[in-house]
Amino acid sequence: MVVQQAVPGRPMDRLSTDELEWDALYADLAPRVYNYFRFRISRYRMGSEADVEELTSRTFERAWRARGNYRHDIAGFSTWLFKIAQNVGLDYHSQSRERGHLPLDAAIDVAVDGTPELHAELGSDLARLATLTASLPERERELIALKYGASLNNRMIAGLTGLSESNVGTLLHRLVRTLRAQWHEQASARDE
Amino acid sequence: MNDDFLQRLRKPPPPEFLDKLKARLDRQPLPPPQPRRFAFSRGMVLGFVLGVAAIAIAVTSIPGVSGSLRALLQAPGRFVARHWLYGPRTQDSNQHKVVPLGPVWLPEHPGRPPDRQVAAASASFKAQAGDHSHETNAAANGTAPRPGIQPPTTLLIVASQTALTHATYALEHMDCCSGYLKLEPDTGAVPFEKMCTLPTTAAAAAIANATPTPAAMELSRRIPPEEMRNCTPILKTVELKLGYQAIVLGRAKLYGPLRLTRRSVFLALAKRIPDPNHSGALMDNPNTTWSQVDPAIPYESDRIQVFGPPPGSVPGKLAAQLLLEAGCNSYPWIAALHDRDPDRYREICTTLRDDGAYTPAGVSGWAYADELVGNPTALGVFSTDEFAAVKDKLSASPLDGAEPSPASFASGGYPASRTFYLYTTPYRARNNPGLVAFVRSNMEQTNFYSNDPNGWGFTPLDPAERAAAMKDLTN
Repeated sequence: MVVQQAVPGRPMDRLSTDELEWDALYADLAPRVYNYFRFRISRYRMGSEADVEELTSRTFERAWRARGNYRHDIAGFSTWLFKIAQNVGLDYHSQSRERGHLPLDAAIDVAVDGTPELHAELGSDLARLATLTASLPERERELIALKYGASLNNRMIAGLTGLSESNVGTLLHRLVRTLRAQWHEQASARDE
Repeated sequence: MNDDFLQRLRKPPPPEFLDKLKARLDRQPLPPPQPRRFAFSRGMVLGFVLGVAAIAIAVTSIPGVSGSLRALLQAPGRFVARHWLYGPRTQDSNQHKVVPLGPVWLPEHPGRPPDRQVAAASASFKAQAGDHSHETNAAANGTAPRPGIQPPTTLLIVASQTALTHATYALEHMDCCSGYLKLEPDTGAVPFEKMCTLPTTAAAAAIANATPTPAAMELSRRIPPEEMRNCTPILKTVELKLGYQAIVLGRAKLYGPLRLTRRSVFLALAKRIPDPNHSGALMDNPNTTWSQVDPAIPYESDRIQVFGPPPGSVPGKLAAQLLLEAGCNSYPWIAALHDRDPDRYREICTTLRDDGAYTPAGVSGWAYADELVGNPTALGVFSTDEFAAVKDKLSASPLDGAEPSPASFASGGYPASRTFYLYTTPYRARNNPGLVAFVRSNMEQTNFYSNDPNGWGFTPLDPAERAAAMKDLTN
């Protein structure tokens, strides 16, 4: 969603804490954070819907507690929020590894004997994407989640990843081209 | 970059989850901001400033110090006070910076508006804010406001009569947020200028607020640059091309394409046509062969026979408009009726003949494509995607020398087509996720258009143009 204006002259994303319209921000950002986590964690474990909700909640609660410290002169609110989301995601991944959750490629192997829900999840488009991105480096997966889950523009992604804006554009272009080809190959193989 | 397969993977979170989370957040009090560390450099600066200020005060209070020396000593103090205490102020810090909503063509505005206009516009902006706040129709869409969540204001979108079916269809097929939008037909009461300008006086604002102001308008005509230049510059009115509506006339390849003009199509298919012997009068269409409507057409004995959708159906009405209106408007006295007597204009320019020359044969071209192969002098009416599927059997008729193609639709050279545009301003579309979803639905739901009569005739932008537009829009 394009950042809109609450006060003439300044985008809402760059207003100070007192000026921000929290309800509107929540309505705009909650679905984006939610989808960011859907893209980000679906490959780690099955039954991740609850985890996605948990991580979204954790992000907003952390941001809400700290919102008095938000500095609008340094970054836009959504950039700030997604930085928190990234940290929440990293915590989750490290905890997942400690708990010994299966990575998706391993999960795919055991899916044959899984429950119907598991099959449905694996058959979903998101799981298809997960299989395609399983071999990608962490950075590329993050780019996909920020672009297509969180709907961020390249400039904001650059701010969050430390890459240059043009580099983000180039990387995403290549990634999408590769994924699209694999996506269609997979679809035709499935049809056959 | 075609990334639709990734865009489609997003889904809205469950409403119950959003409600619960919002309720939890609302219960949290806003913590006081943590005091920032007093940086050493900041202390140095403050000490310096205080020192300079003290010296300046002392010097200016000493009698006998000359004015120029006094000014010289006061200058650093003034400079520091201006640039360090109150922060740098750029010249344009009070200018409105508007985030454009999408990829757009903007007319050349004649420079920055006068300050008075900006001030008046800013003052009246808040008054304007409520003027398109309508009761949400969200309940009807199943997205009624939930307790604890304040949805963005419902936006009013006005669609011209010719774009209304398409806009309604797009609204019904949005992937989210349709509850935030209200679509109304353009009845002429809300001109484009109302959307793209701000009143500059309180009296004008009161008049403007008497009727709702749309946040966006979907039209099948392009607003000319001179009309765009009347818009208030700070509103940054933007134009977005959504796609085309076009139909194709085709016949079997046996005799090659039948080259027609807009007027010959009108004279062949309209129920009533101008009487050549009585100026300004109409007569029942007497033409039975193509050579009667245009002597330049070969095969003079070829009978006029056109298969198409039933005139009462949505595709039939569209076919009538696109086939007849362009030729109808080639008669100045009929074109003048458009504003003077719209009902009569519609009757003349959108009524297909019912004496057998136009044969209702099904709501889509699939129904009669094979019939045309066996009847090689007959023409069929197709949407562009229908025709693409049968183009190995049929050849398309150029109109006024223009082949039907996205390029000729875009240029306006192909008479049986029109282009949909959406106009909006970021001010009026603020905080509303619905508008972007509406635009996406307008441009992207190409799959529905092949099968649904309400979407029949829509031709999307070519993939590169659409991808670029969506990329810019989402960025």
